[in-house]
Amino acid sequence: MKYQPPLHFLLSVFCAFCAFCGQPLRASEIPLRTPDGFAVPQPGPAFTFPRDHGSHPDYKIEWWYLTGHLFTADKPTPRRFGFQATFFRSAAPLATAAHPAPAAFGHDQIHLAHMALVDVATGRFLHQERLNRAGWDAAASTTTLDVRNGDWSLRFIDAASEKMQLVGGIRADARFTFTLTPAKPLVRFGEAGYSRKGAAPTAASYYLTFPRLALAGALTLDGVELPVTGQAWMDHEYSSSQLDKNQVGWDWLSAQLHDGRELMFYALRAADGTLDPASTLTWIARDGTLARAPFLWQPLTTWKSPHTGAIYPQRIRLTTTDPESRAEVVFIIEPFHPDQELAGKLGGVTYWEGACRLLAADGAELGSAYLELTGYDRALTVLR
Amino acid sequence: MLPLLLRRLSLRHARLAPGQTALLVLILALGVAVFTAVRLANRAAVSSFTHFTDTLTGTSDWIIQAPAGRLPEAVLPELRAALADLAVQIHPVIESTGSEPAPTASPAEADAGAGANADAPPRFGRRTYTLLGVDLVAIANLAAQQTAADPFFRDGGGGGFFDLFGPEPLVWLSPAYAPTPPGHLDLIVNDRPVRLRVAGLIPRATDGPAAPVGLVVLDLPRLQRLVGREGQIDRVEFVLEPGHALEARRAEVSRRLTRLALAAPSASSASAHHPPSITHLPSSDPQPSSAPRWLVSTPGGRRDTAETMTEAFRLNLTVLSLIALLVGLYLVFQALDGAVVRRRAEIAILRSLGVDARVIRFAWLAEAAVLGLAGGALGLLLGWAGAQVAVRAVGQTVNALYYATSVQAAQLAWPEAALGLAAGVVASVLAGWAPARAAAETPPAQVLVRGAPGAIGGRWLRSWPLALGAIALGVALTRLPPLDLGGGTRFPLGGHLAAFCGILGGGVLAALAIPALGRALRPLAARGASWRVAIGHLLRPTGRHRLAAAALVCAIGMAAGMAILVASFERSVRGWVQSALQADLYLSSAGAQSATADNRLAPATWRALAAHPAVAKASIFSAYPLTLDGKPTTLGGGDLADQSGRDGFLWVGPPPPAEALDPARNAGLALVSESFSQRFRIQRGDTLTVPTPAGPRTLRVAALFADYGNERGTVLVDRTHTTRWFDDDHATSISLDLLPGAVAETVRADLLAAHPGVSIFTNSSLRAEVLRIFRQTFSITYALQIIGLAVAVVGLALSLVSVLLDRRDELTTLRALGFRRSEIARATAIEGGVLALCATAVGLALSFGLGWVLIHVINKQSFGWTLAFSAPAAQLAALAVLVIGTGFGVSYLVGRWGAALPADREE
Amino acid sequence: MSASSAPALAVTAVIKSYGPRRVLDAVSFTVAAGERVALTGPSGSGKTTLLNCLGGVDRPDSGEIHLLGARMDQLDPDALNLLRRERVGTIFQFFHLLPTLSAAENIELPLQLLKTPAPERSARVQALLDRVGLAARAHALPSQLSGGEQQRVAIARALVHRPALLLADEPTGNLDTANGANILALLRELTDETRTALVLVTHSEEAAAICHRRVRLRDGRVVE
Repeated sequence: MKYQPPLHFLLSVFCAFCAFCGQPLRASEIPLRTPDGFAVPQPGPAFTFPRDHGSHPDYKIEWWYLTGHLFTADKPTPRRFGFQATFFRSAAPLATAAHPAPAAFGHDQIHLAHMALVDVATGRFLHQERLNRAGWDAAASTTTLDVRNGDWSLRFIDAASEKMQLVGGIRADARFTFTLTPAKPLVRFGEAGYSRKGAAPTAASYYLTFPRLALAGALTLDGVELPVTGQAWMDHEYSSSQLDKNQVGWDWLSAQLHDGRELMFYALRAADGTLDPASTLTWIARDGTLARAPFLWQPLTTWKSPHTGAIYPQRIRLTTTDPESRAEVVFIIEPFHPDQELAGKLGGVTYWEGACRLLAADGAELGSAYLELTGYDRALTVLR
Repeated sequence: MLPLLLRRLSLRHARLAPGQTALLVLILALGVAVFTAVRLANRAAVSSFTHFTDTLTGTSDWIIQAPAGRLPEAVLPELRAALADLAVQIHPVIESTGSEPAPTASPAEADAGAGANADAPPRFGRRTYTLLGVDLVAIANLAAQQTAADPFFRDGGGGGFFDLFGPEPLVWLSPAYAPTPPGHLDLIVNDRPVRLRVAGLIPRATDGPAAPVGLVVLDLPRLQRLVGREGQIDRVEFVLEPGHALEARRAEVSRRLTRLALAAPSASSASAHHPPSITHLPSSDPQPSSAPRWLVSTPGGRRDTAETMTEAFRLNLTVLSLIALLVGLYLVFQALDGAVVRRRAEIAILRSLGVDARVIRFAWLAEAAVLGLAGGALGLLLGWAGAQVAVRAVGQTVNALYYATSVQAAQLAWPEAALGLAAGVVASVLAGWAPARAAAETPPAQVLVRGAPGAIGGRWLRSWPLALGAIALGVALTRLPPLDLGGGTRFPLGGHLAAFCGILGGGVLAALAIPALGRALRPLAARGASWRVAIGHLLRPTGRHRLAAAALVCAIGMAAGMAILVASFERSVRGWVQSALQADLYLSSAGAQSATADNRLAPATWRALAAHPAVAKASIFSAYPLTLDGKPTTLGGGDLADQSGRDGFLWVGPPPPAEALDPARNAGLALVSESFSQRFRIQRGDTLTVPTPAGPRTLRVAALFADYGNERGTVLVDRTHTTRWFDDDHATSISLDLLPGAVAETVRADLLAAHPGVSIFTNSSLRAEVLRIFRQTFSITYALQIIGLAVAVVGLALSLVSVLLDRRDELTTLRALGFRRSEIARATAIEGGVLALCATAVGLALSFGLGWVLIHVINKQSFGWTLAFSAPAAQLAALAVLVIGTGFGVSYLVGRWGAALPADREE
Repeated sequence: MSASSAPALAVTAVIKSYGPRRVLDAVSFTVAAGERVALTGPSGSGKTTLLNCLGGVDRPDSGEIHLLGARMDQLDPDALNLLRRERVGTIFQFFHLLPTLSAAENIELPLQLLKTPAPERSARVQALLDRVGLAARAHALPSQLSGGEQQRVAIARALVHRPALLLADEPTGNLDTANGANILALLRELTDETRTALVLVTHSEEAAAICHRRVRLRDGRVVE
């Protein structure tokens, strides 16, 4: 139940969101290596693509994180689904990796993956996690985007156009193959993709995002194949940063507005229940330019998980300023279904990651969103 | 009415003769106990063939295994690609063995000096561990592991999985081995002693069996490395994810696996989903034909194969264990029949009072059932206790002949308990059938003539046609071919039936012989009053006398028959050992301690051993497990000229032509062992196709040879060929001829000092060891024989008790005539002794027939070994003296007891 | 008659109890050599118990039994057995022949017990068979003989070793009148010829009539 390394992943995810809270550092203060020998992200990165869409085993932690919304061609009302597909990579301590291992059963990297699917009409929520060592059944290319874990994979089918294919599924119940094409260019969060994560000089990551991917493909649910289209969000982040002990969890939101803009929001929750000052909301304009904005994050209702007993916020009122109109706007984030909890056995950490609709205060639908809520389960506080 | 009858008939009777009732229950119990013990031991020995992976995975849906050799790792991505849409987990597995080090061969001591080590005669039979290598990261994905109480990696240890990746290999042990694991485990693996750090206890999968005591789990690549099989896996197990269309997907997986097995591995299809970080392993040689690369099976299928493999052996034991029960049945019959006769007056009164005949019959059957139940219950207890001992003996045999078992305590399960009880009750009710009918047929108004014994069951024991017919039928049945049980196992049904007919015929013959013997002894009647009385009875034996003799014949015939089989077997093995073992030293991995241990000597090791200056010639042998027609067998590679060219090598049939022994000319030729020929119905001149990693090879059989060491059969080809086919230069064993003047013990000590992981036998110690294992293998049959005989002798005593109780009036008369107690006892002793003599004579004669059937039909058909008939004269004589002597002694005691019976006088 | 003035059997104040019930209460009587005594009395008067004591099968609680001068109630079992085998013959109501032995063999058995030499054995058996009129049936088994014939064999067996005392327990109890009369006649003749004392337990007047005198028992006491 309690597998150590995946825990590191999620705690690292947690740390990743500390990126925005740090003070500026001089380049000379940043070491090239962490004390345990992993590479430390440096300011002013020069990315080369498609290589940097691939894996960076020099860094301790890396993930490719897809969330999105699917629609069938059914008329007049298409069936709607939300999905999550996440590939994690975690490096073994360098000393461990030093002694030889067979290629088919490596021991330098461990790969964890999560898949989830929610049927908006019925609320049926499926999810599965998978753990493998680097080797014959899990791998990530160091030259291009090509990650695999069992029969789940994410790879470029055309690196030039950054067109990719996601193959995933949940046990025997769902299986999907999607083609994802960037509808908007790659976004580099932080300072041109160098993203600070905390006060410590090593606490930083490289953070690349496709905020809007056009999706087309097939979802096979219970043996029935459904052609689907939709849109997705993809984060790719890698770092070697360490855990901050003061945080209990975070709330994260990606929203895609019908008007062609996106929002990315995260809130770091401190042990005393307050939000960390580093919590940030960023607008992505139609041309891809980024703009931060003030915000007010107000959970309106809660939901108690019957699986774990954790209590999660549900309807959330988000007040911010539109950078274009400079007017205050109010969004209501409303999960399609409360039960989108991933009670992880392999990861050892339970979190909530769910498809939501983005509403105006008057109830008008403005877009769709994915909300991530961590640290509401007892487990995470224990590990703080 | 019925309860009253039961109280009156059964309880009172039991109270009036508590000793006899207790003895009867005890005998039944003994019969049930032997039967149950053997069954439990059999079951434990077989169930300890575990599909070891079950412990970790629950039950896999499918398994693939190479028909010969192993699978390359390269099949894994190929399998993943082929099964991508079926939601199936793919778990490669590697399995090997290691043995615990010999007490004197611990690495430290071996380093210090091999003097003590060399002096100790080596022995087989140290504990063998099964080393199971699975991907310990990937198995966490199994639902069975996720709900396991204690997973492999516990929280809070810090490193978790990454500990697994440390420089030191870790092992997990069974909770049955030690509740708190030791810090490390010392093992001999292949030719090396190793010390492995123990990380913890093996967690048990939900629905999976508990880890057997000898199971050791390692991370797969660590075990590959430990046993020198990098890049290879033994099998791949497939576990389907639950959910949609499970059965359809299961079928589809099997279909695709079967299809894929026949397809040549295609690099392109494999690389479609092939992770870029994996360097391609060279795929196996191109397949010359479309032989399957692997065989698809299920864990149940593997277990079934193991079960059928030992079926013949276990059936033989079960049949043997039934003797005691059979003799017990005779005795219950005797006792109940005696009771009916003695209580006839009582029954007649009841009948005249209007009790229905059916009620009386039911009451008697109920009494028999109660006896059976009591005997059965007690027998279960005894049987359970006996099984704890027997399981070790059965396990040793299975280990020596078939496969690695980790024998655990034999558990008494409900089905076994029920079967044991049922055996007791059924035997008892069966035995009570005729007496119950006789009781029911007692006429109500019958004027009872006192002392007239109503001999039941005597009629068929007086029938010459029956005796001769049964024997003739038995002879005819030996011609019957064996029953095919599948999986290469055949059960000699005809042989067993022939033995049964022989026993029946022999029993009737003995019964017929009693009066004849009485007539022959008649002159002795003039010698004294005791003789006169005894011979009078022998001349006119009752059904009881006849039954007792028949029961004794059964026990003696079987015991002596088995003795003849074992003696013949031993003689043949001795001869084979003499001719097969002619080198001075025999070396193998010290890790190889059982039939299936696959520990071998690395090329560097055996070359170093062979290079010892005192060695004149080294002969290398490599064995490969093989599946042929779904039956496990062995392919051996050796120096044919050297191994078979020695004087006295035991050919079955004509020796092979000269070219078969010349490596330059014997490609495509093979020698097969006799058991192989029997199992696969392959004769000299036939061809067979064996799968190898380099593709199937067709071989012509050049000759058959004797091999009492491997019941599964061996195909022997020149090692030059197997080395190529398997791309493998390891040696299973090597034998060394030393230069003249070299002292084997000295060379052995020398070699041991340099190679502590190697087990070395000198010629004489190996011969002794082979015979020791042989005797150990048969130890359980000795125990069964002794129990059967003991029951039969006690049965004789009980029969005489019954006879004397029938003859109370006569005893009164004898006393009135002035017979002393000793004279009455002497008369009974003569009566019983002559019965035993008669049964022994017939039983011994019968045993030669049974021995012949056991050797030439039952053994030949189940194991395929030709044995030279050899009767152990001294052993048989001892058996005869023992039975006759005990017969006299026991009868004397019964007579003394009978002489003191109170007069059954009437007022 | 001239052999001895001492009685063949002397019973003095014999007492025998089974639990609280006194079966024999100070019974005393004597039987002279060659004398036939009928022991009569109603059922339960103690006849059979007394006979068992006389035959050495049972022992009195007190009192004395002298058989031919030997005090048999004090003999050890072996000596008692020897005395019985040599000096006492017994006849039963139900004959009690050994069913597996022929008539001749049954008769011969007491002589075998006494280790009488074989020629003498066969002579005496033959003589007795002639005497009881069964020479032709010598090799018949008991089951092949009629009741009367069986009892004649039993009488022959009881007398073959020439005992001094013959004990007979209702010897005609299981026979019809004609056969019973024959047996009684045979008994009288044979005891006369061999001067054997006879104690005959009986209910029947006909049987008692062959005796020289009667000893009548009632409730364990001799009433006459």
